[in-house]
Amino acid sequence: MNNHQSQPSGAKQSILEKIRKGDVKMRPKAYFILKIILVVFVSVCILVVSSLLMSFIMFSIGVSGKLFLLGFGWRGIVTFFALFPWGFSVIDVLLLFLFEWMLKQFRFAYHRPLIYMFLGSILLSFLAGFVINGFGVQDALLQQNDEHPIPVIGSLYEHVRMPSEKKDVFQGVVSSINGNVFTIQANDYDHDADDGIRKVVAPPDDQIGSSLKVGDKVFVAGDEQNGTIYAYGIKQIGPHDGDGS
Amino acid sequence: MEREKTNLTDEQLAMLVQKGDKEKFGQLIDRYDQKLTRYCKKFFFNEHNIEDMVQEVFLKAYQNILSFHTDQKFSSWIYRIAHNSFVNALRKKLRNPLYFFDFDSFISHPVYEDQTKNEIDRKEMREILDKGLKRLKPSYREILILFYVEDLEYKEIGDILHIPMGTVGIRLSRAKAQLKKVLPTNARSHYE
Repeated sequence: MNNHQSQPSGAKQSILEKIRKGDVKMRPKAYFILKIILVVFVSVCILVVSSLLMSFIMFSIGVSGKLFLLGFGWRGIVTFFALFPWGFSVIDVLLLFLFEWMLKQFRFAYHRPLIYMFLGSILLSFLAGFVINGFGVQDALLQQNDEHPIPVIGSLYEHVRMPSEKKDVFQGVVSSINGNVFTIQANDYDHDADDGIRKVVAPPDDQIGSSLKVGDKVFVAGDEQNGTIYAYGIKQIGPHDGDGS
Repeated sequence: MEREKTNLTDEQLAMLVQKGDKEKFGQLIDRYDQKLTRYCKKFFFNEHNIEDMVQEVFLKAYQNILSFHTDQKFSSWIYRIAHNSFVNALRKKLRNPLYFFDFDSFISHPVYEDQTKNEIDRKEMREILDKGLKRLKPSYREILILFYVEDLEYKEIGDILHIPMGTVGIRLSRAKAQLKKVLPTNARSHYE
């Protein structure tokens, strides 16, 4: 490997001359240490933001009731994926790509296919998000925003509880029951004129429809026709589900 | 004393340069000037000022010598600096975000070594390369140069290009296939 042949000296002398004169200097060791510290710091920040975003995504699909759609058969699953916060998820994925790119200069990162690190960082972000939610951070932020709107991110929390009525998903409190038909006081948390009584026709084979009581909070998925919701899925939610309290 | 100096490994020389012995850097230049000039010529086909490019590599190497860890291979380290310099120069010229996202280093590939281990095969390969290198895209061109011309192992190439060894193998295989397509007809029979 060591080549001991002598080379034309012109270029070599030019380089050594620049070094001797001080035109080119060695960067100090501290420069490289600080660079590594900065890379690690930025990477950790990216991971923290990604974890917070992941926790918000998980919180939002829970508090809006979208998670219940997964129990409403094939149609519910399709609606769930239609309503999934893909925008935030794409941002999260891009953050994790950035995280990988930051660490790519290190041997442990480029020595293996990036897919392993990418999947590992998704898992880490997911677990961190889960822990963040476990400590009630998102609940606290939602409550805080209700009392005093939080700058910048306040609008995210303002809309997080709204069911997606455009996609035939409704939330409300049962106000009367008549066989398999009941009414709900619908609430989409926007305090406007469409908050009001909605009639719901439960599916004939639905057990939950017959076990409802007045005052129960419910999440309903179904087609609305002439003010009546023909439900394909109903979920009774307790006082601590669906409103973040 | 002269014999003792030339018996020092590249890593030992680098360590002495780090401690302040600037003249030892001259020995490193002696050892790598021809290799880096060849690498640069094959990469750019004399379309750039080769001497200036190689000088720039050595100056960057000196500037960053304190980032070199002596438990690494010096050759991989300086080739990495050369790779970065050449890629940056090509990006400026083509105004393209080269190597921005490399799908091959994202997914897993099994590592299988190239079968052209025989020295005669490699020599023939080097002759064939000159006929088709210019028509290849830079990432394929570079891997063929590093493996067949610079005679580096998969692991070293992985360290230079910052890609897994599996990706080195798959990229080399694709580069050879592409080279076969772009070779003039009379050269293809030798390749086969």
